[in-house]
Amino acid sequence: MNPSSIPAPDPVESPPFDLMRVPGLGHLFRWRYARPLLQAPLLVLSIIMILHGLFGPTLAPKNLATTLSWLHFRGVLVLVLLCAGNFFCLACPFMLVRQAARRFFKPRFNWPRALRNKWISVGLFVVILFAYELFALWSSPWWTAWLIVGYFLSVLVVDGFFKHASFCKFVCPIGQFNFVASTLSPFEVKVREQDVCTRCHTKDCIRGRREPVSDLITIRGCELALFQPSKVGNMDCTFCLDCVHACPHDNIGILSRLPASELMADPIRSGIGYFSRRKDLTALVIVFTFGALLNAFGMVSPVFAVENWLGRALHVHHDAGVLGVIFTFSLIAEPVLLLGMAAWLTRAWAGKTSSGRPRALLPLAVRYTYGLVPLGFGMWLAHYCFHFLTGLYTLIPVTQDAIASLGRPFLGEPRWTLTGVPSNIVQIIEIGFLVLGLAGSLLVTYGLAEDDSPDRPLRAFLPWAAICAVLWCAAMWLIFQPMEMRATLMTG
Amino acid sequence: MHVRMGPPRCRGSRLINKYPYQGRDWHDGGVDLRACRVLVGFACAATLLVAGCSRPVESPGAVAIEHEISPEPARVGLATIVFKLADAAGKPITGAHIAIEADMTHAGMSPRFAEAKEEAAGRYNTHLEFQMAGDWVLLLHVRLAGGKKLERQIEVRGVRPK
Repeated sequence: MNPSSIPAPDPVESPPFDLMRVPGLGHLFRWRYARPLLQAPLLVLSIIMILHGLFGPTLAPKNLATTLSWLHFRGVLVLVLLCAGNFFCLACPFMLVRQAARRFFKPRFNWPRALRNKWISVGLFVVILFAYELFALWSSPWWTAWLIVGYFLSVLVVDGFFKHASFCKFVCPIGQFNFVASTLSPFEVKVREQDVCTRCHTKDCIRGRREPVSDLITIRGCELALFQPSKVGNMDCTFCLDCVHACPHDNIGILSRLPASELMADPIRSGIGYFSRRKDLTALVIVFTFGALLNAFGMVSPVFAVENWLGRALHVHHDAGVLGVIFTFSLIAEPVLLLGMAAWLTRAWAGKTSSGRPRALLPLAVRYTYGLVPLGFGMWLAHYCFHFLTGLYTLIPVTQDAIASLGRPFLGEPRWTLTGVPSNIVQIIEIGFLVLGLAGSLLVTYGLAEDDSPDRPLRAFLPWAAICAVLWCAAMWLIFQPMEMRATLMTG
Repeated sequence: MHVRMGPPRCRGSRLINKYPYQGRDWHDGGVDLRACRVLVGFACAATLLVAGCSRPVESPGAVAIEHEISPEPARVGLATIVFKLADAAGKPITGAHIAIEADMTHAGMSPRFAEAKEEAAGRYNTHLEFQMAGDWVLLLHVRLAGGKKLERQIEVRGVRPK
């Protein structure tokens, strides 16, 4: 690391709020065993979910596996990402099991160079969205339990063979979702003073703290290859706090920042490179954004009319075939068409770059696609919070029922009448999230246009604003559609 | 197998190419026999779990329960459901008490409860409100005149919107 390449801090900026300076919280996060402490309850919860999913009631509304997975986990996850940061990855129970397994089974290999990108995780993200619809995972406690078991096994296999956090960085679809969404989070793990890093020679935040003689690592550095002084934003950061514990200067905090600001700039980022050169990351953003609409579309009434029509028109008589057509259209054809059109219009209207070079379509599309992240996250928030809030209290009777089934009903008889917030109130909250998402996308896109085309920012901005408006209208239409929760697609 | 050691790299990231990962890593090591045994044991346990966790299928009892829902197909709103109970010989079963619990297949929905009244010999009638379109499951808790209890699960797929 060349110290001169570390940007100097802006002396005018007021110091950001630092969660590590909050009494109690800071002490907890600085404690070396903070992560296992947070992971342990989630591991216990995961085990309960697996057991209840396999041996408990077969109906999803009565089972902890489905209720916790598809209502509460997803809702809490997006709200924490919105209000704080990627704290789920910090408390990820899969990593606790991995860490325990690594005491016995030490990985030997580095993750293959050709796979050091997001393509595998993008594929898995799509596979999970597809399987969710095809097998109606939300209605099956048994399959939900096996999904959790499968996740644990995948972590053990991948991180059993490959060093560092290969699973988190290159495989985990939930992690990728969190990484993209956390670009909008108000907190970021970041160095407090760049000068301290400039003077630092040990670079423990990345190398790990080592014993002087044996060179054995006693506190590990970042397993996701994020070198703190040149780390930008939350992409690929699991908030594991390894860097915090390893830094000998106590120079790393969890600092407040302007949400989405990292999407508007394109500096070189440690462990990532340039956003504008990462087509795999762009694909991830496309799946994140268009997948949000698709996932919500799968739960409203018109989807069944579309599926039946498609089945008849294409003479396809199997759910997988029809779903395949819908997924191909929604995640490939539609984005290529919309983003390609916007890129073409930007090139035609905004002219050449500031350096006088003609614009190429693909880099333009790649660069501006990041502007869609807030809109996509708005849709995920609206969708997941609908389920979370309308079914908020259902955890109580399901837990009462689970305990009563053990023969000791000390929480009383299940109160099945408990549900959640009325849907008409939740709909207002949903609209709020979507408006917030649109505003965020328009701001980010304008910021990108100003950066990309300083002399004609409005011309560069307009095509992308139109795309945002189209997607927002689609999202608004979706949330006003009647819900139809069906596991069967074409039969009836 | 030759595997390149060192930090992950990505195109355009010169900083990463330089970051110091020299020295012994605490993950360096090999496969030990104990770990293999643990993994094999885990795989065996998982296989047994898969085999052992399949749901038991309820054997058809001596009581046959038929049902009719109107409107057909079912729509969001109030529906009338008629249950016909008969024994193995096809003779109507009278004097039974039927409690119904209607659940959606998605978590987060509160169940609806109702009781069926006998309107003719072996013919029981109830009204139930489907609050949302989609797949529903009716759980019947039946208590026969002799005190014998039985449960049945009836799937009502594709309740249409209004």
